[in-house]
Amino acid sequence: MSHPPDERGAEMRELFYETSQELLQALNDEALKLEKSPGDEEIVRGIRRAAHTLKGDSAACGFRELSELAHRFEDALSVDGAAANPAVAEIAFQAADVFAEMIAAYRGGSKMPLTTNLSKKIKALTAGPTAKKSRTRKAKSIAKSVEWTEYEKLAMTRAQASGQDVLHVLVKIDQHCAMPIAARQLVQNAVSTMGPVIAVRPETNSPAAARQLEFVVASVQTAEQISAKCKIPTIVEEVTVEMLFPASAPAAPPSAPSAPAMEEAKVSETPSVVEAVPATALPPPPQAEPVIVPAPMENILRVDAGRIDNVLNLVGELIIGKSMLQQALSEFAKRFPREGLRSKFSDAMAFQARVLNDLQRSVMKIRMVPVEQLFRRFPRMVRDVARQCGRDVELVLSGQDTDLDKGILDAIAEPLTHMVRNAVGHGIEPVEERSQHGKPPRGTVRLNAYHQGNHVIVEVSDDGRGMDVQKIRAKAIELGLVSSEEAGRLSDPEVMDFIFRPGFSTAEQVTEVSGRGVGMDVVQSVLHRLKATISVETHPGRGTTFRLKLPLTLAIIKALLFWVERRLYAIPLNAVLEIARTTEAEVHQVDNYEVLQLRNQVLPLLRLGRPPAAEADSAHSKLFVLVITVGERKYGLIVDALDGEEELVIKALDDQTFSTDLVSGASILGDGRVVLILNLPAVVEHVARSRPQTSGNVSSGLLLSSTDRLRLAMGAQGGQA
Amino acid sequence: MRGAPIRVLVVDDSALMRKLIPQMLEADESIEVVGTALDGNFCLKKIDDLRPNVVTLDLEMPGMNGIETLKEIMRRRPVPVIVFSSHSTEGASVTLKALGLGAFDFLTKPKDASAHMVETGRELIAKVKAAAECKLKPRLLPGIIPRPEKQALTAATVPTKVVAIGISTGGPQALEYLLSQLPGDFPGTVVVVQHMPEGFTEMFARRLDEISPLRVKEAQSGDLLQAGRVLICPGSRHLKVRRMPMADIAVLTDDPRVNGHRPSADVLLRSVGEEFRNQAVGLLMTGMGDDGAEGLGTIKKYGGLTIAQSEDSCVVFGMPKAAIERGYAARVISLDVLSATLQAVCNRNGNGEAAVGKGMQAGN
Repeated sequence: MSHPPDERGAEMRELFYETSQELLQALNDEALKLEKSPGDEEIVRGIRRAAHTLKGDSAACGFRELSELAHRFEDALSVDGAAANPAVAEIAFQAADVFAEMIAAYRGGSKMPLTTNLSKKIKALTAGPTAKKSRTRKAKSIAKSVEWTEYEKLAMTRAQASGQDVLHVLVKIDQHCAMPIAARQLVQNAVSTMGPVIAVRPETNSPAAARQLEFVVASVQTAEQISAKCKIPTIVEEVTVEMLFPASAPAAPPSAPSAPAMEEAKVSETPSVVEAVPATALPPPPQAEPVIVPAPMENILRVDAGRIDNVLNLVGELIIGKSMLQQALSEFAKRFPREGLRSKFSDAMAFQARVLNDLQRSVMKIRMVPVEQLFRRFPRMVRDVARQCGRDVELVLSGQDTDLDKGILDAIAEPLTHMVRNAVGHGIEPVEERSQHGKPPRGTVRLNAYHQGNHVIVEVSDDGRGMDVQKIRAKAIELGLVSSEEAGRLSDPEVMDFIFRPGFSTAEQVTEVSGRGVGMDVVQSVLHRLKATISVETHPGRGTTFRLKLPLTLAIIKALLFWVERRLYAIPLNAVLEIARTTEAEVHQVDNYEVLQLRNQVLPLLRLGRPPAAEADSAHSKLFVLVITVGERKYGLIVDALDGEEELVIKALDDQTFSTDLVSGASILGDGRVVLILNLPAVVEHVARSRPQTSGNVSSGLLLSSTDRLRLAMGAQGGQA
Repeated sequence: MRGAPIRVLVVDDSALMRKLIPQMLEADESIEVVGTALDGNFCLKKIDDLRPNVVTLDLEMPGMNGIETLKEIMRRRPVPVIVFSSHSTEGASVTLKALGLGAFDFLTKPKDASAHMVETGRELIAKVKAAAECKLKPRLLPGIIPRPEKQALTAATVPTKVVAIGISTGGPQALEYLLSQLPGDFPGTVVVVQHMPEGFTEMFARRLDEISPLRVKEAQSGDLLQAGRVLICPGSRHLKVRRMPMADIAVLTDDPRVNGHRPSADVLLRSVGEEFRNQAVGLLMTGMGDDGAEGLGTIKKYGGLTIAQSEDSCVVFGMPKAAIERGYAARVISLDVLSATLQAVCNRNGNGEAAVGKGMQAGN
């Protein structure tokens, strides 16, 4: 492979990797359309155009293999009547996959994928309904050696008219003959003794040593005599002599020598047999799908995401700087309450804060991309999965223009793919089952996205069989996740949460029984990292909806800061519904659950600190309870004291620093203090999971001691900064 | 740098190409890419806004495709257009159609572009410069009426003369015109080198065959030189002629490029001069560069007749000019009287001088 070595070449290839994803997407989209309206020439033109551009672009980058394959595909589609071939859509899908693999291979410098299967199908495409055209083409390329030139034909006619037979002599040189070029000369000499040689194939000046020679000779000798003359021992293996035109047969035009023509016909007919075989092959599993990148448009600047993150980081630092200033100003105000400069300072501060706010929002907006970019990969995937599982499924997309942080979008790609696959493969029933229940035979899977406050909701719903809560309940008891007594008390949504437990859903029988939930624990863990929550709503016989609640962005949050055992923590403000005050005396124990009666509802409590000492006076000690929502449920978070509200710039924590999912990040406050931001879904789960076995209090202690190490690490970092 | 830069608009639906082509072009200081457009609609709008001197146009585009775009450009505000498209089977006929609609010239994106990037860039720059200089005349030629009635192939087809034509930029239109003017009983045989890449010439020959009373085909080795026949050299090969015991034939070779060209007009003209001596007629027509000038000299040396197309009827007066400057062109003749001249020269009974009055004597 020859790549232009310079920087420009590298830049060009980067651009190609990006733009080619567009083209592949277009290929997929058009193929889907073609499946819906087979034979539409306009759509086939679209497919061809995508192949065409891909061909040109890849050629410009020196990706010869890809360029050639795309070229062949394009050519096959250019043949008249190609649009009518029902295999086009299927081949376009496969082409998109193979092209994607090839591009990935170029990019990663890895081995080229096999393309023979695709090549065969492309070839079969031209041999299908348009066999006539392809035949003439093949005749030229494959059977070139038996096409006589005009001059040779003229010589044949003349020889014939002068009373000579025109004979075709085919000589096979012995395989073991060591000097084929010399052998050729000997054979040619022998043939020319029989009469004038009109034509030789391969042509005399061809450098290649051929094992098979063809002559046309004008002769008065019989075929047997010629054959005997040419059969040179140890050199010639086989001689075939055939009469082309007997002498003086009047006015027989020397066209179309019969034997070779028959051969050609055979050659061009075989591919149409091949066609039927690979067309039934299933498309490769769609996990290998490329990550889709943003749509390019005129006047759009492509910027490396890393650069934007950089800017965002700096904005974060500025916000920290702002709170430092604010703190300094309030100290200043306390010390010099009469100083007139104060108001100037605070005006400037307010102005700066506003601009900073705008700046932050603008930068965040840069990171926002429409979920369309993620959604558009699904039509193809749904189609493939539906085929594999023998379902009839329609995918309905809505809310594609909802914006979401690019980082989040990329992160949910995999879980969402998994859920959509499940919806198609397990949620939607086979056609017969649907009609038995009086449902339309075609199932519907919906993908929807919309804004809700500071969140984006992404829903995956199907109108399939739904999940059986009772069976899940039974399974949970069987697996020992919950006692049967407890299970009876759990609400349906609580029971549904079990499908997100590791080990629960991987059990194979469950897949068959509940028909759902394979690998949901994996989905759950990805979502935890994103501070996202998932909830499920199911109606037996009517379908299931999974609802992802995603934060708008990962980088900056409004947070509520509070103290637990003299340590500072923060949680996202939008998770907090209200703040209640209570005393230890009002905390009740219900089977190891600490609960609080707040007005009409009973709140499960989460205690981060150690339990109060058993002394009587502690019963009257005051507590703050933060009422929070996680998913669709409410909890009370017991804290010692509140610190305030602040905009926090989240510093991501790498796994080496600390490995717990209880904390989603940390931030440095204006005065240099370090605050840990709790990952509420994980905290809730952690506490809930450990509760039945231990008394919840011990686990809370674990949380605190483990976060201390992190705080130390962060403190060191903060000191440096 | 002298004068204002050549303002170029690049039209291509591939984002990659919209980046690559300007880079190729701006390697030359005298060219400025003033804008890019991703389809025909944008292209027309940007032509109005930016007033480019030259447009490079991709033919395969969504929405308004290249051909429609070209029609509109020529209808509204004619600008020299260079068709820059990647090669495809269908591309050949579309490209030729574009030339018929008045595109200045075309260039194919090479199959292995990374290897030929510099070369392609240089070629594109040369074509852009030539295009910027050309005086874009409203179609100089009257509409061509296809005259498909062919003479039956008779045995007595030995040609009186062998007319060898070398032609390049602006060629397709000029050849279409010339061949449509020659009569079906034209007694000479015509061999043509038109600078055109592989894959285009077959289609081109077929198209010419449709509009000309002569029998036009892409040459194959061993094809007979017959009266009333036109053989077009296939792209990326060389065409020579050879006298054989039973007939005269065309021979294709894969010899290296000559003057950077394959086919090269020099190769054909030299071969025709050497083989046919005073039976040879050399004709250099519109085109960039000087390919064919030396070959015309060879024909002249061996006593054949040499003709150069006149400047006023050339799209690019390069090749004929080179021959005239070197003193190789015996006559300089305008396109509209070329067919009459050739007929007179090749006519069995005529002495070939009848047409001289219509042409002009060469300056030197």
